[in-house]
Amino acid sequence: MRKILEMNQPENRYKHVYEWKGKGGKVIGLISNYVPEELFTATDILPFRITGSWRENVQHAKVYRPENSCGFCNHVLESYLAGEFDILDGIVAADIDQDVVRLLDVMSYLKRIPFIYIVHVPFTNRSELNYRYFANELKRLSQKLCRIGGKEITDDDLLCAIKLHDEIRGLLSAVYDMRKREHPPVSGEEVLRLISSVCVMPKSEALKELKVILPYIRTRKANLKSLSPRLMIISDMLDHPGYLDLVEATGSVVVMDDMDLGSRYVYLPPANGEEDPFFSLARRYLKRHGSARMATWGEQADQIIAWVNEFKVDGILGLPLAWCYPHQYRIPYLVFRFDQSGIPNIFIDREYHLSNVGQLRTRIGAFIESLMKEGKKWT
Amino acid sequence: MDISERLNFYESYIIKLKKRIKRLEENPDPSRLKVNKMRYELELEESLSILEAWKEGRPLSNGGDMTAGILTKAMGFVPAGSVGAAFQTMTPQKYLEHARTRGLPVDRSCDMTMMPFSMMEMGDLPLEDIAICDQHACTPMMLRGIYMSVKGEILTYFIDIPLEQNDEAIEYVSAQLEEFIAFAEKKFGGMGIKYDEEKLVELLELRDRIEATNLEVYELLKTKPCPIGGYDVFLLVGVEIPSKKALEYALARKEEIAGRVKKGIGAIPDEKVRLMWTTTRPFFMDPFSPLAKYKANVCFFYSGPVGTWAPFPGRIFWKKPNLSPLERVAAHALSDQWAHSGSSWVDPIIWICRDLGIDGIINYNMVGCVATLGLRRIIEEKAEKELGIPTLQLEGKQWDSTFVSSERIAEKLEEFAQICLLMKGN
Repeated sequence: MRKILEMNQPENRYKHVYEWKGKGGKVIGLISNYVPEELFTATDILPFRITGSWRENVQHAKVYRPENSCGFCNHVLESYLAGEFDILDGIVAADIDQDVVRLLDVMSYLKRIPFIYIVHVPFTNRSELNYRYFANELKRLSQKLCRIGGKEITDDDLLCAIKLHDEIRGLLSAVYDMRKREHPPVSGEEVLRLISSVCVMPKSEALKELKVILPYIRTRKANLKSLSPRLMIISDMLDHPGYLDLVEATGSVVVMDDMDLGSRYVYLPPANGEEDPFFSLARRYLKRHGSARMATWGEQADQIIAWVNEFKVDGILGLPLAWCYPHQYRIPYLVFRFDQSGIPNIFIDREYHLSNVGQLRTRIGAFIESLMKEGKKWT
Repeated sequence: MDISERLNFYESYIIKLKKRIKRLEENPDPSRLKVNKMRYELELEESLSILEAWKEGRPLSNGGDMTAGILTKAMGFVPAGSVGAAFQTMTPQKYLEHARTRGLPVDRSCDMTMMPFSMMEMGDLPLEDIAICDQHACTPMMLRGIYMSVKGEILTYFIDIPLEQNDEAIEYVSAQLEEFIAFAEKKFGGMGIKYDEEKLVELLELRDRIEATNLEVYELLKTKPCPIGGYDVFLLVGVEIPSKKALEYALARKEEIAGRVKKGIGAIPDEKVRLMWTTTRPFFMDPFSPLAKYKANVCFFYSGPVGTWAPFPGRIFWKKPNLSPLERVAAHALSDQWAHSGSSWVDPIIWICRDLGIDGIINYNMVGCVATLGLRRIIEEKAEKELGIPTLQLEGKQWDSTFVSSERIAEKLEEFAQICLLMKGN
């Protein structure tokens, strides 16, 4: 289990990329899980989730981007400028917000990597029109990928890839189910490590590894400092496990999350047998529990509140990036909804890289303390 | 309490406009265009009609401003004019404070994102009966729309504007507009709301004529010295909802500017430096006087489609001939460079600078403007490499003067004017 949990650590992150490239394969970096990995798998391209530099200093990126902007984008650009992504055959992102679009604009301008592509993801799923447009976007992307991968994609290829990814999601959701236990088998930090590792591995290998470790996880009890309070984390672009380690080391257990490298990677509505697999993918990705950039804040709050009950969550800890506009704008509404439902909550801004640890420990510790005083609801 | 604080925005703005018109009649500023009086009369007329509609409870909608404002007007909605109002308010701080109390990221966002909804929430502007929320401008504007919708204060209709600018995107947006029409007619049909294609065509024709007139003005701006100065250049920003009076104003403005060109009148007669200003400007100070000290004039304001009356390549991005009226509304929504690729924002800047013989760019780094901040270095590098001209990265907000002071901004502008002079060998 240790092996798979370490795959997205800086020293191992590119291991599979080099191996894949060594066999003559192509690798594309992905920003945002609104770009379906299935399309890449179907064209024999390794989808590789982009992680930015975890170093504090982003001096090169500052030349192109103002410091007071999305930390994730700044750190990704720093890695790009340092040549860390030169091994990749391209980078594909979803237009989840304009900061990401501008990041890709700078990458295109600098021409370090031959293929830079942005997929438009509708911000609303109000109408069938939105699914159809997104399905066409995915078709356009797959045509580009076919040219890079040198392989035509058939419906069967895509259905096969969808099946593989669904199987992985199925195993991960089994892990999530086990987090409902009084003593979860895995810590929040381990779950983050697990999912971020899956996102940089060839999917057939990830599936194999997951099948091996799942029986062990079923019998395991996580090594935790405390079994309560039980927290849910809300964040995005949180890939440094140190943050969740900090939360749990302060005396809590993370049992659920609303994160792109978390529940939003794991849970996707089921396929319903549509004839066109592109349309099926488009519908499933747009209908799943949305991120803050989707216009479904009401449904998002409903889902989070449902999870609070399902996972017996004592409190919600939001760790938004300081300059992430979708999160920052959604916070007042979520606070309103959580307060209305009597769910203790706190939102604390953070940087992308692990920093301000002392301050965070104090603030998180105070929140945990207040939960303990209030009396735990579930444990 | 000041009397203006007991009035809603339109009531106090009407008083302000009347005073301004009177002042222009009695004591016109010779350095400014005379036709500005007509603009204020137009604004007065619009403000009076909005106030009247508000009081009578007639249905109001801005149609997402640049997206479908022209369509909602053709359907019988009264424009609520919230964005224009935000530019004209005399008490910006109180609205920014209000947004702060709501927990919104005021200090990290552009003021424009925060102002109109605060004005509505505080009762100084009417709440729209139906709002359109989309991404035509930027992510924060879209988020503001979602925020208002979940707060349950405004019925909101979401329209997705894709990143791509092509015929398929036009078809997609146009199909969504059709769905919007059906929705709005069902919801507000009892209040007389109905899609009137003839009315839409009439409004589109007016807009075409205003646009053609403004493109003629663009040609006049090539004249050295430039016939108009910074304040009037900023007023070239188009009138969002076309009307006969707006067309009359555009034509009269063109005539006056053409007259100035004919007589050799320049805003700065011995103009030495010609500048482009991008994005927006600080509205709490006079940013043009520090430049004028060094004979530097702002000859062009670049601010997305409404501010950019220039025939740059790619402006007409569609291939399909004879777009239907709804497709034309969709194409207009998709024309907004703020929301699209970096090159669709940067390339016109470079093209216009070359075309107008610009000597330097003042790139306003508006705090929180995700649409433009990530492009600042690209603009600077391209301007230097392709045109050999410098760029000033000027940081600030629109109304919040506590972020960067007027004095500091003036200092930077003076320094930049001197740099441009030096680079021109003066």
